[in-house]
Amino acid sequence: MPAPWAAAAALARREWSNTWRQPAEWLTPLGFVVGVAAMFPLGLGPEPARLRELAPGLLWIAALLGSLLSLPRLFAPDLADGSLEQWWLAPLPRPLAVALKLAVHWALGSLPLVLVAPLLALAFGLDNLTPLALSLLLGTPALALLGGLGAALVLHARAGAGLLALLLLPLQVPVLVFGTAAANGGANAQAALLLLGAWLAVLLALAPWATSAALSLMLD
Amino acid sequence: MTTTPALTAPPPVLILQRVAQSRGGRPLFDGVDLALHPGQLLWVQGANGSGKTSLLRLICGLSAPRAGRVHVAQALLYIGHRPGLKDVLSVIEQLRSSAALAGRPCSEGEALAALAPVGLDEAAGLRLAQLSEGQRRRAALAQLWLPRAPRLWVLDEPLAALDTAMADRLAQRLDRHADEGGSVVFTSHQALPLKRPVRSLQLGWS
Repeated sequence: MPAPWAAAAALARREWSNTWRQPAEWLTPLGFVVGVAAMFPLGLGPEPARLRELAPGLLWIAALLGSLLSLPRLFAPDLADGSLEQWWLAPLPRPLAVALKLAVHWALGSLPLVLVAPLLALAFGLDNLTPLALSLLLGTPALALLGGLGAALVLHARAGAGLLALLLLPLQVPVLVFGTAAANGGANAQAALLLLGAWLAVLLALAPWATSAALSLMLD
Repeated sequence: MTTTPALTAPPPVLILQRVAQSRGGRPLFDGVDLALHPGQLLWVQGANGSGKTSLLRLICGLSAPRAGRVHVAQALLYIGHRPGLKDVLSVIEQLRSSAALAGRPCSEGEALAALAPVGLDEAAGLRLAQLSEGQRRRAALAQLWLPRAPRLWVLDEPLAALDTAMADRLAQRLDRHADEGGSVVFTSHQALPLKRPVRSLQLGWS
């Protein structure tokens, strides 16, 4: 296997093992969303029609806030234990190393949520689950890419978690707007999904480069 | 037909020209000149905060010098003071993933053979969280016994937390590497019991 492929496979495998063996890291966002969803009927009242109407938007807000929970520790342990230096010396482009890290972060932290959210929506009486599932499938990678950039930028900051939320929430507004519009279904759902996909494509093209540049600054 | 032996020394593997570095606006060192050739060992010395690790990071390309030029002629192996150990990985997983991440994957047999000289072959399946600080250091240093290692090694405080026996074994490994034409740059607050002559670079303004 050529050296760059071996390095990329090793990085992905190591990140997967490291995250998988720390369940608190990747189960927390899922637990948060399930817990918040369980509180909807308590806070909004048990009226089924109302819950059905609000569920897509509420689930999206819970998913967005849940995605923030694990971000302060996304790169901090790698900086502290020297892993970041190993990635930078590996024979693979730094943005690719970042993209692999974020892909594992998404697969373990957000993909379970994408799978569980339709079940939660079903509990709220939603009939058509496909728009919600598709919107989360396109939207959560966008949140992960934005989150990676934010986590890199506040790596050395005191009170980084609070700063991270303040930095990220405005950037995540387009994802939330397109995501909830798509999840609500109706005539605009397809257009919202296309816009969400376009936004994800833009982030895929730019965020790994910007994040690796920010991490290089933090390492220097 | 006979071949004429080379009359010139092999070209340096590492060249530093008037290198300067600072941290947070505070100058660490200035005007460092150096040419390291194959088979040479370089001991970078200096008090805490004198810039030893910063110099190694410059050599590795992990940071840019404030002034001057750093030229590294070949691939290098860097084992930093914090060598990327993950508590939840086993010793052998850590070693194999570090090697593969550096683009030099090794088999399980090769990894076990590299763990034997550092005394961790029987602890290969243990998670790093279960090891002492000295054993963790050994796990990181096991990379030096893997096949296909680069010729230039850059080691930051390799003796940290090691016992005397392991320090002797490490010194023997560095001697052998230099005998085979490899080069080593290392920092340490203690002298390594090396057989070969060691060049020294003293950092610090005093």
